Amino acid sequence: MAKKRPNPQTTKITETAAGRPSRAAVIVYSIAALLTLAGLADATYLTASHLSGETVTCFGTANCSEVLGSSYAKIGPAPLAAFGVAAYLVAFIAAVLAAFGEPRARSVLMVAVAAMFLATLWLLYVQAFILHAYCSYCLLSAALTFALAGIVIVVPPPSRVDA
Amino acid sequence: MRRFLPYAIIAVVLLGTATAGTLVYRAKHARVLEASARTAADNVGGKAGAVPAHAHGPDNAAVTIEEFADFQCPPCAAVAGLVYNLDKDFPGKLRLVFRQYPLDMHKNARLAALGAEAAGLQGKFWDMHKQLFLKQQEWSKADDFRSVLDNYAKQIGLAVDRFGKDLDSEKVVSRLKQDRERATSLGVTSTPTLFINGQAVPAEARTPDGFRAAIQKAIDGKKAP
Repeated sequence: MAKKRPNPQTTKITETAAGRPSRAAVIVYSIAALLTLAGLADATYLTASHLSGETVTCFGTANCSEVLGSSYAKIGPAPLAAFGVAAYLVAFIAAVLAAFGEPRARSVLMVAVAAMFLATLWLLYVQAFILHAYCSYCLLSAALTFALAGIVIVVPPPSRVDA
Repeated sequence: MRRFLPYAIIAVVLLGTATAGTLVYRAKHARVLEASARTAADNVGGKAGAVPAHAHGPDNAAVTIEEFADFQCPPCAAVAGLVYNLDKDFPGKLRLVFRQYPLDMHKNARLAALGAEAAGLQGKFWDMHKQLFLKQQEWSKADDFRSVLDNYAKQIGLAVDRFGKDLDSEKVVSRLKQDRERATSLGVTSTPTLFINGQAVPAEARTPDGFRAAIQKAIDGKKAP
């Protein structure tokens, strides 16, 4: 029986014949790592602000305090932003390892970004339809997550390459 | 070497995140503690008034003056002249806290107080304070004070649409209520009533000269060993 060959287009973007990540994959995962770094800075700032007790003021016309002071901004005693820190950290570590050719890291990145994407959709819904207020830091995080999701779709996980 | 590079990058980022988070937390927490100490200093005795209070002057001033005033009261306008010269007369030594106490007998006083609070939401409380006291005679008996107020808002550079909405907002109304509760708890019944470092200035001294003398006395008292 003939062995199923990987899609040459997909292989090109993820790894070279020697098993190392291709140049394109390194660039794409590096961009993903930079995006997660920006998200990490955003979430860390919000977490530190929340824990310090200071009200966060927004840039632009958004109304941060209505969003960040709402019950939706906490899970128990922990600020939601702290979970954002954890998620961005996981995504960052996975993106760095993926850029260095660790195959399992791509799957971890995909799962992390998928979870972040779903959480972002929920939080956007809360801002738009429940609170009727937006927080610019949250919108920045949403934009970063959407960009990350786009990257994960551009670079498929190894299972699709090696099938 | 290449094998360890990703772990080194991850370690640097973890360390950077922890450090940055700690620095932001410390800076913000220090500000929160400072603000809470200031709020306590602005609310000596009695119930707390609106927070944050409208204050002018350094946080660590030797003397804090808390004034309860009505924008439509003529003696308050006379005292306001003194207030505007505080920086010049007592540089760096005074902190003035303004509290709202609009009197029911003055038909436009409450709306004036709301107007000053609404201006405060755009960071221009003291500009509106000045406008209202300096032009007191112009608006005191005005029948359509609302449009006069809009005009003042325009003159001091406020976003007039937002100002109009803020005038009736819960946030503004509740500030007046909190100041009134503080006034009641301190036994204030008339305007202007001033407290210098928590001590009420006697009724007979409630003139610009009387206040100036009381302020000087408080500053001299702070200087004494």
